Amino acid sequence: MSLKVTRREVLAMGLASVAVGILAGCTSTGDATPVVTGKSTGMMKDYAAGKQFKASKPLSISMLFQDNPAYPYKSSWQIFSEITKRTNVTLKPTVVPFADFTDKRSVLINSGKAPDIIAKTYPGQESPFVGGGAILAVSDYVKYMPNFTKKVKDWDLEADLDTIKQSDGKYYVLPGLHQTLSPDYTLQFRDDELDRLGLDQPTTWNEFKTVLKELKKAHPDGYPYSDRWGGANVMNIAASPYGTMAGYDAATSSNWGLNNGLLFDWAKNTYSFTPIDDNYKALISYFAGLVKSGLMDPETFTQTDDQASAKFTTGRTFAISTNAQYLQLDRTAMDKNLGVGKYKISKAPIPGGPKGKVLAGSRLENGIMLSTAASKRDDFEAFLQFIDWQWYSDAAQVLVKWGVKDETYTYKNGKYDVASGYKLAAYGFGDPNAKKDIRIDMGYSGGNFMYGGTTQIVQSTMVPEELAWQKTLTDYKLAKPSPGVPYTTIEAQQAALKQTAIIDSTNTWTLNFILGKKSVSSDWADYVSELNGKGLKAYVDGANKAWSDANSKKKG
Amino acid sequence: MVIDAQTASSIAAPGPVTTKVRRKRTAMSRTRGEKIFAVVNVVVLLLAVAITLYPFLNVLAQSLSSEKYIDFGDVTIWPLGFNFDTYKIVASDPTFWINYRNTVVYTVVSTAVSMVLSTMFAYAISRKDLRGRGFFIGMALVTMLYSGGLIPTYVLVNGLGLTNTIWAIALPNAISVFNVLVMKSFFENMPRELEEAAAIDGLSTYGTLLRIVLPLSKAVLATMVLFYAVANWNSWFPAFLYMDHSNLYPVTVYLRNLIAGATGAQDAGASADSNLTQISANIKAVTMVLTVLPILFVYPFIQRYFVSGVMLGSVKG
Repeated sequence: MSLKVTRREVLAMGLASVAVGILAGCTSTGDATPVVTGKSTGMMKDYAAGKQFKASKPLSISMLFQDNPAYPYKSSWQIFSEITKRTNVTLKPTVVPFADFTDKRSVLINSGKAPDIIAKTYPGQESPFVGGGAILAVSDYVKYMPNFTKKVKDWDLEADLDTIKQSDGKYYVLPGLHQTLSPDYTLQFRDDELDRLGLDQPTTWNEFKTVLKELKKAHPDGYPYSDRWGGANVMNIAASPYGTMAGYDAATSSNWGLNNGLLFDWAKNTYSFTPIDDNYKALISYFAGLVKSGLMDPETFTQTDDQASAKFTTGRTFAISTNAQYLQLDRTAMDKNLGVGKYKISKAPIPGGPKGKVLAGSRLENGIMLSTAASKRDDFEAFLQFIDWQWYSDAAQVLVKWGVKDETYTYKNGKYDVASGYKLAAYGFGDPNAKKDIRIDMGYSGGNFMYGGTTQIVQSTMVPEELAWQKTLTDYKLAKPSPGVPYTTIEAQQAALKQTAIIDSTNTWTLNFILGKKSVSSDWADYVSELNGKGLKAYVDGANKAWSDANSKKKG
Repeated sequence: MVIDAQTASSIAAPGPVTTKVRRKRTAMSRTRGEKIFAVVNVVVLLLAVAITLYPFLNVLAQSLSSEKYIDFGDVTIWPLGFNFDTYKIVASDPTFWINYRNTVVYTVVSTAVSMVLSTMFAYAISRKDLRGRGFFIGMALVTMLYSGGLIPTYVLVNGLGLTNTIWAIALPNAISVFNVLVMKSFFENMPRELEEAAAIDGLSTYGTLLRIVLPLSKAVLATMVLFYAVANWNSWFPAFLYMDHSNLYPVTVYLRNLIAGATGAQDAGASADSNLTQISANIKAVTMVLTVLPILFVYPFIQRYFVSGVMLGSVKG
């Protein structure tokens, strides 16, 4: 037998193998209907909301874990062994540093190597992965998740979930669910200085300006107000009472409230690009006024957060953006810098504006994505039950926040506290000299597991001061969040190209207006025409078309 | 650190200075021109020294200062509120030392792998009688212009089973084409007669490389070791990409997480619990100093080869 192979034979073999490949590919596709039957290894037959989940066979589940430098990951953390003890599930974390978490997540998902659970995903961040098929359309499977569905129903979160649906009417991220909106970000002042000058904490943006003017009079050198987070927080919280959306931190390229710039008008059922409307103009004029009269430090928009904090904590400035954690951090720094008892700071009320006292925000928090590969596991149903228990049951939410009852925490008269010998320094619980921090040494109260929950659980880590501040928010109106644009995959790509150019331009102009390099009164038309040149009309029309298409599909 | 600045300035300065001098020479007498050259030279070099040295001294001073003075912005190049406790705090973190050890291991192994592969490749393509030489050089040059892209590369490395091993760091970028071309030029300039004589005396190709060529190439080898070692020491991205556990990270990832992680707020407005914590300025400074010191001490030992090594390769290319 001759071993010679002719060219024609090689060609034929090649074609044959290609054909086999194509045919094999065909048979494996088309598996679109969500089927869980036959994947019931380890599942609990009588699992229901409020019940402890325990897999009937040991399961091992991989998880993308965001490593926070403030409490670096340790494999010895008690939280992992406690989860295994209660659920018979062993979590295998892929640990990714905080700094470049989104990059590695993107590589892992796009290369098809994503772990089963992908933690720390903010609503909207899942969109780029939807087309690729590596992320599970989790809304198809929530019927297997009794705690999740119960909370959505009881807390009336259907409309909120609509905001994260993609064009196929499904959602791909399991968000943290909040029973009530609990804003955290506001302004803080040197209250001792306000007292000395006979001033109150401002409750409106006009009063804020007055207070800054008085502070400037008392301290003519320098600026009374210099902000952290690139000025994005203050723009964000001021935008709602001005009836618009704003807030982008150029230094860290992070979006706070500007989002895609598309504000939804629920009466007209259309999107409009808010950064060119009169409300945005009024907002920008206000901040331009603060900078022009020397009340606001122009470095706000370029300095690092450390620099802004240092200015405030060394007594060079008197107002700054804050949240509950930063209030504590600033106190720690000021105890060192100025001396204990030599200053007074606290969270001020969120100021109201032309539209009254308005808060924006969603009751959905960041959450988890699931890998499509997980749906091929033969224990998929148990997997879903575990996800449901671990991220949506009250029992698990207490576990991940506080640990084990009477060992790491105590619960008396509706109040949680750390047990003696333990502390939770980040939230100011326990004796500061206690040896074990339940966050740093045991893994509790970390960001990978804690998303939302009942008001009681969310507020359980709040100190009395913070609870009192939360109470001041009850008389605010809530601005309904703009729904995400239900683009198809191709529309989404086209819109993304335009959006990048338009939002970049908006941010540049906004900064120039505020810093006084451009005048709001005379250069506004140039700004709008530049945006129009970047395809603003097509961008807004595209969003409205996507909205009406998606809605007619729903009706049909 | 003084040496570091000198090295930096000796690399940075020659360009602008020489052009200036040439221009002066046409207009003025030679001696006067030379005087001006000397003055300009000293001024420019001192400026370069100051620019490169100041940030380093500032970080060094911060690492030895108490946080209060850093917050006030008072620390320049001299420590205020002298405090060595921060060093003790950083040194007491076991992860820091695990990552530090990783950096040393990764640097040594990667540099060794890179040197072996680059030397052999450069030597082979420096031989004009190599069949298909143009193809091999072309193949190397193509990688300078095009790459496979991040995700395909990741899929490949992962498919080869290299993730979470040192080889994921040592192999994918083992050959730097730039370094290979410098070495190639160096080898090309070695007298051909030496190798012919070695061949007549019965040495094989490998024998010629090991016994004749390499001993005569110490300058370029030392330079390449330095290039590779510094690049490997400072590198963080491959480790970040291919390693899934914090105990496999090099110290650069530890440092990056400390500095960038604590300040990179993302979409924080939406979240009730942002999980951000400030890492104090002096801890950052101490970590930076500890990370940069060892590689800094490599320079004095290699410096005497350094300038001649680079010049030999580049000028005669």
